[in-house]
Amino acid sequence: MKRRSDAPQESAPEDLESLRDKLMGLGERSMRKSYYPELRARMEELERFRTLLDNASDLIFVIEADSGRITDINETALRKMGATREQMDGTFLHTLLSPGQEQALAGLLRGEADTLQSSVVFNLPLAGGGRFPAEITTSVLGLDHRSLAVVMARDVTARLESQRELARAWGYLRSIVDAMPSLLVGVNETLQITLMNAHCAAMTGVGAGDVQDVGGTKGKLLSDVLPWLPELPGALLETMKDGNTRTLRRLPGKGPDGTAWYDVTIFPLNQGRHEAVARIDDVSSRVRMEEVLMQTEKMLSVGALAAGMAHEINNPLAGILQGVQSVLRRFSPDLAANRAAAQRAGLDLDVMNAYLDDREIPSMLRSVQESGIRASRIVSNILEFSRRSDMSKAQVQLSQLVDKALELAVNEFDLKKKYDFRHVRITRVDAPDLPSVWCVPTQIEQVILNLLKNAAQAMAAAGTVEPAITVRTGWCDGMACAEVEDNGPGMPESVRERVFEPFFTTKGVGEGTGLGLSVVYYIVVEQHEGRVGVRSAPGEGAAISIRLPMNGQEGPSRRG
Amino acid sequence: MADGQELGLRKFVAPEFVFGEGASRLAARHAINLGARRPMLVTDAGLINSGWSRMLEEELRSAGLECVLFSDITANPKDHEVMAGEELYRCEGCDALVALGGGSVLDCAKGIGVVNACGGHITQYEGVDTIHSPLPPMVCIPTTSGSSADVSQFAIITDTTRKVKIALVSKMLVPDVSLLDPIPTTTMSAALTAETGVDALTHAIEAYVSNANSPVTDMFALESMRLVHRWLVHAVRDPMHIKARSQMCLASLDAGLAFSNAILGAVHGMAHSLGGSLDLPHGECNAILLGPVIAFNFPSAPRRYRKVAKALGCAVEGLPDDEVLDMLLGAVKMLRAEVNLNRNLGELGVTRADIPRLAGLAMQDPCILTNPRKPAQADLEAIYEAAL
Repeated sequence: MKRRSDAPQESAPEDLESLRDKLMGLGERSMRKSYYPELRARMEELERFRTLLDNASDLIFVIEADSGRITDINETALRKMGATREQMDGTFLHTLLSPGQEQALAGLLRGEADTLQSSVVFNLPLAGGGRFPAEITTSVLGLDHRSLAVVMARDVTARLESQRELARAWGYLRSIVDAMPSLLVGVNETLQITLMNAHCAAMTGVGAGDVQDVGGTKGKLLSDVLPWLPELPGALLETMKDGNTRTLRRLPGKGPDGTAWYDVTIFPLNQGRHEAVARIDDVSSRVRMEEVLMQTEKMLSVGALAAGMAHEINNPLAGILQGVQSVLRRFSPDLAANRAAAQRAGLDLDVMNAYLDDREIPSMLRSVQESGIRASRIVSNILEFSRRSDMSKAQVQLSQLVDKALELAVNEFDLKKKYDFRHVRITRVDAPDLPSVWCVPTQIEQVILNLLKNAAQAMAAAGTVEPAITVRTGWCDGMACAEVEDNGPGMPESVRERVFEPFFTTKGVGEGTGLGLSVVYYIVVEQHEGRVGVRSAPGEGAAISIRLPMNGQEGPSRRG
Repeated sequence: MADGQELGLRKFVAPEFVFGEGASRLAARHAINLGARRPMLVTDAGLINSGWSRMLEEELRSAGLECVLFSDITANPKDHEVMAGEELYRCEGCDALVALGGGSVLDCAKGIGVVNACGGHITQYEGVDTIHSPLPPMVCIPTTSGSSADVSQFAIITDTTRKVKIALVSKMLVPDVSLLDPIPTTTMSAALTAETGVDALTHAIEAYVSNANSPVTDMFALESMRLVHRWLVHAVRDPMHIKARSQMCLASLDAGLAFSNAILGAVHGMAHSLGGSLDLPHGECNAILLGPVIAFNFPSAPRRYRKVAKALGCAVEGLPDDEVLDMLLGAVKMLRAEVNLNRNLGELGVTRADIPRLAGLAMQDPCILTNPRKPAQADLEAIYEAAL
């Protein structure tokens, strides 16, 4: 009978018969309206839902949004809190909370806090006493013209515990990383910084907030943070590419006190991300130590050689001196043995002496003797250095030592070496209150003398027009300090680095031994635990300074 | 066969109903008992004007029910009116239907319930037993005595796209409660009283001669005929005649109980066709077609028509069938004349050219299936012709 279908007007008799039956209410689906089938379906649905809610792991409350009165509660909540439905019926949710949390709940129900964004943790009573932390989410809904809120509470004891544990472990690791004296810096493949320890942050002046966040949007670039290690980025990228750990040694860089050296170890992070970490260690002191050791090593071997040589020279020298002494004695008419020998030979001693005097032989012999004595003094000095004795240390004023050294220098007029202290303008600057220094006076005299001679020779060699030397004494970093500055040619860095090396000289063969400044080094550094320093640049003169500790009296030199 | 005694399976479905003066005052109580909190009061402009709607609305409100009013309904209710009503029902969060009005209002309320329960468009539910979910609770207060939509399993809606009336047939459409009160019917005009009264009579006659008749429906059908014969003229002539109004209410109830279960015949099939395509008043179409259809059907159920004639006051004892038919047709004609329903289809604007289409639509109407005589389309065309 459906008009919609294009069935022929005369339907088959059976169809019409069955349609008639249906009209009469005899069709299979003919029934008076009944809500029961749907009701039953809904009841079953409700039952399933109830079971679902009751077996949910979360605590579920339905409350009146404005009053907080509980209108429904699931079994999990009753079980967890050890309450019966009757006890809970009509109580107010905020009475279950810890004191002071009511306002937070009210705010939550007013929608002031978005629980999807930030979880709010409340304390709910626990069956058998005590409370447990519960993270609460709420959703307010209108139902039957009332404002109801579904409050879901989740026991987060375990989670908080594991969070704390995680935070503790993280903090522990972080503090290990931060406590490392090395600089640690991690980067991703675009060379944005992903990790930085406290030492590195302090060193580079970059805050932890500048480290790349998870979104990866605001990471600083390595090249901005550590511009003074230009070799670093390339090495990091290579490590990320091939996954190999690599070490870069003695990279020059910037330190708190100027130039510094760094060793860098780069290793890949195998965390699924493309990252690499560089451990940067400041090895400046080690590098300096190595240099000093090398220097010392060289000097020690030179010292031993010199001592051996001095010893070997000493014996023949003693023979020469003794011989000269004997020759002079045996010319003397005062000795009975000389007179007896002359008488036996028929020689008039006076005549012979007149001849000798006429030919200036005695003065020649005395000259030999003086030279021998001087050679002997040099040898004994060398021996003294090599013994590194501080036997003769005394408390002296540095300025007095400078006075003596200047005196010696002026007397060391040496035509051959073409320098003359009388042409050099000497300026003295002495700190007025400088206390005395514990040192071997003759050695420090020698040091200053050597410095003066070195300056004078340099200026003479360069033909400095108005040569001038300034000698300063004073304080420097808690040490007594003496500095000899000239206005000579200065020196390039290549020279400056090697001035204290034994046998290093810029002078022509025969003009210098190359020992002057290394002796300075020995005396100051080795014998007095002081320091030496050079300040110079080409055309700007040179200043060589020595520093001596003030507390030298407390004990003998460790190397003594 | 319709005349015979052999009997197949028969079902009888009736709503819970309260009959009597003041029954309509029980609307709020029944709505509440059915679980209503926010009922939709479905009615039309006429009942708003007569004041019955406001009275009912106030009673519902004073009982604590938030009432939503829907009254955009015309005679021969249209599909879009149903859809608009359902949208309002849904948007307002209504949970029950209280229908106050004649057949159009009650059918529209049923349509709203169907769409609300089953979704989709009302025209999807054309046919028998196509409604799969129970409608919302529904309380009906008929204000005419004739449509019997308050007790029937039918809802007739106009499909405005195809310009046809579609029939929704399902026991689901039987209301939960009907409150049959003669008082609201007192404001009906004489014409409306006449139309609806003849409609009730047609329901009773068609149910009685239907090939789906049963002893139970027969009782209601015959009693309804007797009541219409006895009281309709009084009700038409004297609107405030409570006794007449009351008896016409009863006549309508009886006819409704009969035809809802025994179904109808060719008169309704052909009247639905007229109403759907030309929007003609249902009761008047029935009045016009009743005589010609009786003449056509008579040979198939002479004994039953004899009892119809008797119920309508004809002394037919011992008379031959053809005389019985003449007397019956005369009685129908006289009743029409007494209640002033004398127009024929031509006067309503139907032309001969309309007839083939009207007959074609009527052939597809389910009511034809229970007509005692199986018609061919030519038979229906002849009947329309006779009614012009």
